[in-house]
Amino acid sequence: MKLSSKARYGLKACLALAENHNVNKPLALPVFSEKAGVTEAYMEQIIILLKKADIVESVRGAGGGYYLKKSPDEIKVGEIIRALEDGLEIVDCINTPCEAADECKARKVWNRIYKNMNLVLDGITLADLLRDQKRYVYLDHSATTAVDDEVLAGMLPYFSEKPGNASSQHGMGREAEAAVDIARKQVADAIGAKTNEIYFTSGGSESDNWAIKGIAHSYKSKGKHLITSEFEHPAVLNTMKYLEGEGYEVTYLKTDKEGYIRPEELEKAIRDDTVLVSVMYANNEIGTIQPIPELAKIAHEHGAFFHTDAVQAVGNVPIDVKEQGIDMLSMSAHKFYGPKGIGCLYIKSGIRPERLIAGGEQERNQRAGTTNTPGIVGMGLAIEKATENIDANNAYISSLRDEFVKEVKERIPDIRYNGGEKRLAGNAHFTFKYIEGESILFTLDLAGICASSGSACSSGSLEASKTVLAIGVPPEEAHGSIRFTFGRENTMDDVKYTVDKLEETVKRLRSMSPLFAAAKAKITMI
Amino acid sequence: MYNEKVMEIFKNPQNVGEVENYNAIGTVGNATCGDIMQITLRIENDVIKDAKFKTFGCAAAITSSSVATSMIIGKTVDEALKVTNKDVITELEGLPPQKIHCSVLAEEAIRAAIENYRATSGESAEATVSRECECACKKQDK
Repeated sequence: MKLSSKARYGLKACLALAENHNVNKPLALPVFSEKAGVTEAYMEQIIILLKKADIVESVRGAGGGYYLKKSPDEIKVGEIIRALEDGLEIVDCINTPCEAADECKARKVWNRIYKNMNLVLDGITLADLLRDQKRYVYLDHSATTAVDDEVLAGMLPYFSEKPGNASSQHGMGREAEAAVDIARKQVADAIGAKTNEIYFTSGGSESDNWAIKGIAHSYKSKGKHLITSEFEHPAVLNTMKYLEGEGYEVTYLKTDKEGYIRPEELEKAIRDDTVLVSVMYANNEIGTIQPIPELAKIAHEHGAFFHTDAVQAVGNVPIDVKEQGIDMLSMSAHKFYGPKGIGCLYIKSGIRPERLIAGGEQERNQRAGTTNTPGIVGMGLAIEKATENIDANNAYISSLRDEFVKEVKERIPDIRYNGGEKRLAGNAHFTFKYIEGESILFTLDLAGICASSGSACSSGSLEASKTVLAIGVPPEEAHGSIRFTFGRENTMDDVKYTVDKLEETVKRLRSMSPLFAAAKAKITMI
Repeated sequence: MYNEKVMEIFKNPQNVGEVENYNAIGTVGNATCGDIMQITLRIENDVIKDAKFKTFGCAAAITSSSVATSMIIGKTVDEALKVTNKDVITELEGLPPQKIHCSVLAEEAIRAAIENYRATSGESAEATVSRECECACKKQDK
């Protein structure tokens, strides 16, 4: 199974024509033959086939040549390949009647390959390929990650070939249930939990809502006081606000200037009627890793439960819920190269937060809703892969981050590096004085660099980040804060490219900034 | 969230800097809110000969400054005072709702500069006119 050279050179020729598409002049044969790297005579044979398939049109005479009949975003790669390969039937029995079809077990495989090959090729247009030529450097892994190839391959069968509902009694249902069981074990093993302590949800926000509202409601006879930190994710903060509306009392612990919640602060705030302490494992903006075992210990000494929003930490920090004394933990698969829309809440056995979603009896009657089998399978595979290689991954990612931080500090003046040393391996967070974060972000974006100002959930709002203000960055500087989060597909070359572009960006924006001019004038006067 | 026109102007803003020998200057906004706009003008015989800006702020603030300064060059002072934030938005072919205040800032910067020109009779521009603007973060915080 090999594509012919006709298909490969034909696609190159079409790309050359696509690049020329907005120019109001056909492309001459010698030009794109050379671009594709073949002789004119050979290219002519290819062009005949492309013309026959209505992809290319010719103009005769002087100044003549070839052009695409449709715009590049309307031409699928599949059309081109099929035209040049005379179809893509990989075996003779595809699309032709076969007497042995009913008994033939192999035919199913060929059909599936044939179908998927066409789906892939038809999912890509010439315009997509041209766009891919632009360089992208993705430094926003705390916002989300791409699904790992192996994870995706493991998920795919559960969308259509194995579509069973894990609650169904029949064979297909049992097949789905078995896959969910495997994933549940993968997730449990990754955090040192038992399988019956893992409850799949739609993600981090749902898990946080369930843990906090559930405990508050179930254990209100013990007390109506909750403790959290001031720089939690909105999923926690807004749930706490909601409970305040129901008459609960919430204490918000302050962070120190490095971005850590100190255990002694919790010790001061905790009371006999405190039912729950919820502190995030790692901060979503500055990446600081909180002293979770110490905080959990204090909570337990006062008879309170301890929940942690570990959305940023799972897959990046070794977690053992038993050793670390965690009663409940929220996680979300898309932060560790799994799919979006799936997460889980770990609930230590014996603890019973009130149900958040009423309905069927899924998840041992604790969380209703049809089991998201492909998502769960993907989450299991992703967490296994992330935790197995956690040390190697972290060593690699932090080497990129450290080089980046070192270079930025050396080359760009008037900055702050926010947050303490004990932080997520990929996180770097800076404040650039005299300029504003969104314009930094968009200038980097023009160079294909994807970063974040504040957290993704708050970008677009006009407020400076509460986290950045909480660690003591002055309000007039806080607006110039940018988060860069590295991941496993980044390279040292990405670091170099980003530092270069960042240096240019900061210079350009400072040259426009009245604050920079004023600050420099002041220095000269002194 | 921004349209293509805004992104184009953000790539290549016009009139960045300070007018040499300016005889009008206005500064509006404040750093805590995340945007400051400074406009300098050279006005001769009540006609704006040149206008430039320096802006600390988001893409909307920078592009608003760019189009606002372009719009008033060649206009008389009275004509320039009639330029409103709506004109700036029209020129930008629209701004997201949460960025409307950036266009207001541009209108106010022009007014502040012209007030400065009138206050100093165009003789010197030392008496900088600064104006605090109402910004969303202030309202939300309290």
